[in-house]
Amino acid sequence: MKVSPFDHRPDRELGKALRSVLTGADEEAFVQRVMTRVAEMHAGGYAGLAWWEVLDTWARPGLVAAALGLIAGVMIWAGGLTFGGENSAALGDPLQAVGDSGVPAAFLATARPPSLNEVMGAGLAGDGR
Amino acid sequence: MEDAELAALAHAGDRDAFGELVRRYVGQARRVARSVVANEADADDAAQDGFLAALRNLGRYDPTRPFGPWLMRIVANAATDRRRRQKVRAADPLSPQTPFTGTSPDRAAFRRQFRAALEAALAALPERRRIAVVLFDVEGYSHQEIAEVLNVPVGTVRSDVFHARRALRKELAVWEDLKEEIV
Repeated sequence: MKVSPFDHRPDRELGKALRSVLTGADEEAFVQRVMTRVAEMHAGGYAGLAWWEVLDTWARPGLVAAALGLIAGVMIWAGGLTFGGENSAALGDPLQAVGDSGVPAAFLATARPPSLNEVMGAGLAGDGR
Repeated sequence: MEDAELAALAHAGDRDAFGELVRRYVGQARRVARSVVANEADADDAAQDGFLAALRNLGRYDPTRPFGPWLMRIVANAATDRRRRQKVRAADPLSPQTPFTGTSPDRAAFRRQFRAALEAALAALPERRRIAVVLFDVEGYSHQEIAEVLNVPVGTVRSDVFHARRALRKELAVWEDLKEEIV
């Protein structure tokens, strides 16, 4: 029976011809050969996967984890820049804000006398006033 | 016993169960490997690579799905890997043959010529078409199953089988008068 190339059934004639070309000799010997290798694998402490296959299984999750880590790092770094700017402003304000008396508020907010460095810093910052 | 049960036993370390799976699929695996790797000894090495890789990866096999396509995918990949590694050792392709037309009809000689011609026609096809036509017309796989083996859409498999059949049929037509004797 001749089957058209469009046919969705197997072409028996072509199949038989290809089978005669592709079928190897002595199947049982081949099975024994494979099973000998299997026995060697078991004897060699075969534990399911070879080391490169284990690494291969970790490759994709590893890349995902690295990408997430990178994103998290960038976000923390960017956030740190923002927060860092606010912090420096918050620390600088009490020293730089000058009240009606012309004396920085930080000097008035504490009973402790200002140190020489603080006085010099305030003097330089408020020099233009 | 079903393939999935044998696979579960083999995964648990039952060598006899794995041996039974090898026996069930040895013909298919060798033919699929042979459709990728021209040399018979190399094809057998590739089929063996495929079986051993399947054994190592039995834990990934989904027992709700057919075992054959899963195994054939591994075998086909093993054969492709081996063929790539052996490019430098590739044999010269067989030249197209014409039927023997001498006066002494030697059946064995006809068969050898026919096999060589069909092998050459098969070797001239792209690898994916070779695997597709062998799985469909020799092993009786469905288009859907072949699509899973080759990891391509079903429509691509239909097209591959169509083109491969057309090319091989052309070769068979040359031997039309003699094929009853030699196939």
